[in-house]
Amino acid sequence: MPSLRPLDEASRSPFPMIRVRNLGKTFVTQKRYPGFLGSLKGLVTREKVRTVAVDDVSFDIDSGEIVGYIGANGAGKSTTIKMMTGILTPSSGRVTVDGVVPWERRMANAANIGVVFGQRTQLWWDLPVTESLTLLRDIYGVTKGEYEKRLAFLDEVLALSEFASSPVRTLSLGQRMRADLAASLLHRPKVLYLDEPTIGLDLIVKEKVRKAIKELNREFGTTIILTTHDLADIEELCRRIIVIDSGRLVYDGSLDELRAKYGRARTVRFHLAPGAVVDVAPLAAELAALDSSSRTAMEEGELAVTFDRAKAGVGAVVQKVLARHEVLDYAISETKIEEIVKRIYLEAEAAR
Amino acid sequence: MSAGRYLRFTRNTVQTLLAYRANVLFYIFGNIVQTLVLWYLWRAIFAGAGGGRINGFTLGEMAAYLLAAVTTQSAISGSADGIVADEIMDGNIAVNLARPLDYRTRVFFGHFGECLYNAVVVSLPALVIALAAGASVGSTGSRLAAFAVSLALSFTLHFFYKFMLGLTAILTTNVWGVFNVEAVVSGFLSGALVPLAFFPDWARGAMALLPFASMVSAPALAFAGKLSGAELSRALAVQGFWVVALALLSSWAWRSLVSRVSVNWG
Repeated sequence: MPSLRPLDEASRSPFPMIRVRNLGKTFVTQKRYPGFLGSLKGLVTREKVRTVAVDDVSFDIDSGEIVGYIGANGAGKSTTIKMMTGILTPSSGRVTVDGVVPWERRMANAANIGVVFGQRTQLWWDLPVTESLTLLRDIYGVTKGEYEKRLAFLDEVLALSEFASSPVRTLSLGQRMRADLAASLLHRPKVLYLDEPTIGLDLIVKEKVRKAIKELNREFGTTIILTTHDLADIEELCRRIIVIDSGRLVYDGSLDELRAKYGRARTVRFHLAPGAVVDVAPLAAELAALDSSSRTAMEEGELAVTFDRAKAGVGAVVQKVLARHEVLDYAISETKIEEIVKRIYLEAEAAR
Repeated sequence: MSAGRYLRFTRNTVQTLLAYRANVLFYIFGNIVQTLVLWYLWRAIFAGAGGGRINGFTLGEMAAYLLAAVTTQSAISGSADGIVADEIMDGNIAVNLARPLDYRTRVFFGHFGECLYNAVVVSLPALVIALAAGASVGSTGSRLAAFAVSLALSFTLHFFYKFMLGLTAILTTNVWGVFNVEAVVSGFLSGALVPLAFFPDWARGAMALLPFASMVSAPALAFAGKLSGAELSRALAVQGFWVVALALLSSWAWRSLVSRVSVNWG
């Protein structure tokens, strides 16, 4: 493990909202064979396949935190969330959410939490949005007066009234997501799990959803755990991120620390004159003398140089390139959080 | 926790079913045709046999049996199995497990909504038309009361049975085949197609003890007045046994299977 910040027990609250200890989940499935004959073979064999989805994960989350829980597809994010919400029973380890073990006291836990799964809806497909909301009001035992008040707030941040009387099946994806978010918040949960809440949304709706999440956290101190592939969500909402890869925790710390550690890298892209014959080897050697970790390569017809800003100045690098090649234009870019995360994934993979 | 919270699911199910108006009309029409076909079929069979009794049934008793069987089938036509299996297979069980609701109770109230809808909206017109077509039933108050009690037991045990059937989706992850086989077997063994009196003696005794006979045959026979006092008590006792047995079995199945849920589609 490329150990970044280890879980620091001392610095955290003794009574976290969520405590996850040595959590593990192994799925056992029947082995399947390809092809038609394979299907027949599957009828008579009893070979089991064990897939480790989550492996020895531990962390604490304090009340009022917004934590980004990220990882590549199939890293085990959703499985962890499903154990924290009481949907799945873990194979090993322990979780408490506000003192409750979710899968043992499912109903007590459910009253404390709200969940939004970006890929499915918790609304009733054929009913108007308001019907779904009043149904949830009854399920969670919210009084009528309180319901009106909360709905007014949610309407303000999510603009629900424009589609409140339409059946859910006729809503656009963005409207459905706003309605789903409202549905998960009616009972004012202490903890809100958002599993890819901005998946498939356009920029304007994404912005609206993020604003609502922030507003909610500020107003009510809701603890929020967010999984996403859109790192803009993370940058805008979270101060802390937890990165998981192949079921193992590979980073748990602040976004700023992560930037400080990996964010010194700069990439300068040079647009060269057409027809220029480019042999990057001599230039690469020269730049390596400045910063041995630098990388020089042709990418999509442009010359890209990536280097550590602390070792080689941007000015020096640009000068070297200008001296050797005819440059029409160039652009400097900061390392994006995507690249940082990609690097963590790669390091974690290399360490395995 | 109040039942009111769960009753909303019944209301929603009925509302959802009513939302598809064309479906409502087709179901009503289909059920009328089916009831009439059964009625004319048996009338022709009795006429062919030169009237009198067939396996102890007079034509009037057969009419009563058929109408009670059709009513019972509608009144217990909820698809708890389908509700559960669909949620397991499309992964929506996740949403429901994250709510402060008892899963089985919630499924029950949805199932109940389907039963209500089918019994009232679908089967009532069929019954009225079959009666108008000449199927005379002439039932007494005591027979109606016996039917009502038996139907209530049938409804309850049938729910637990269907709920458990739906849970098999957790094990097999594909229930289409299982459900088809089950539909054929239970249609046959429950007496919904043919009264159990038409089966050979050796099979009848065993069939009467299976839960399937408790679902349709028992209330239909009670309504048709084919059960003496002792036979009626015995049939109700068998039904009562299955209510308790299936309730316990389905609780056990839920507890042991829920930890094996793996959520499909992410």
